[in-house]
Amino acid sequence: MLYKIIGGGLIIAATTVFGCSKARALSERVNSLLRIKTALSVLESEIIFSANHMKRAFLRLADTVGPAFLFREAAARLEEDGVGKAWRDAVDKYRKKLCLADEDVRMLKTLSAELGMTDRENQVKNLRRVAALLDTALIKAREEYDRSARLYRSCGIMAGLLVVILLV
Amino acid sequence: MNVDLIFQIAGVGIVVAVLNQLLVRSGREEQALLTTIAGLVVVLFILTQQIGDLFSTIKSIFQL
Repeated sequence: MLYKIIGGGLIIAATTVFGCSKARALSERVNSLLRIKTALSVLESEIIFSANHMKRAFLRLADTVGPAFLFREAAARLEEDGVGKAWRDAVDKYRKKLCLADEDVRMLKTLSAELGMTDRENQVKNLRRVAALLDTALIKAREEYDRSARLYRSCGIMAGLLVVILLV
Repeated sequence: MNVDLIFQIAGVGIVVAVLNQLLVRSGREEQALLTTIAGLVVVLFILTQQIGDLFSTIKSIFQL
């Protein structure tokens, strides 16, 4: 009897953790998009007012606003790969950690086309364009979180209960 | 009559009802319907033996 209770508890705990991790991924996506959007607006200011080298700008972003690991990785790859490839590779490497969806990754990769390559004005336009796209993605991500997070958590618990009821 | 069976079916029914409501409130009506149908199928599987006995009893009563 005791083993049945322990086993049942473990099954419910496992499915609950699975449900909660899906809900947490949704919330993490919202946070990541918000931080990246803030980082891009700081990068825009860096380009307009400081005219810093891209590597220094990325390292500053890593120390202040953005997801630090993303910008540090991009800064580390910058010299061997160039800005565009470094940014794309950094986004690919950390897409799972940031819980980004495919369309978010595609949107961020479009930044690589002109980042660090064209004149100041075009880079600022590019950054503003991507920031506007991120705004739309952020609204959709928030709606998705509001609609689905509670559902995933509850479904996790219910699925565990269902399995325990069927097995007992 | 096995009372545990009644509790098992009641438990499945409650869980399916709650899941149905959660899915409907999240705007996923098709998935709610699928969950209800899946619950029904699971309960029918649990009751296979009893349904077989029921038909045998009906056949023997009416001498079919």
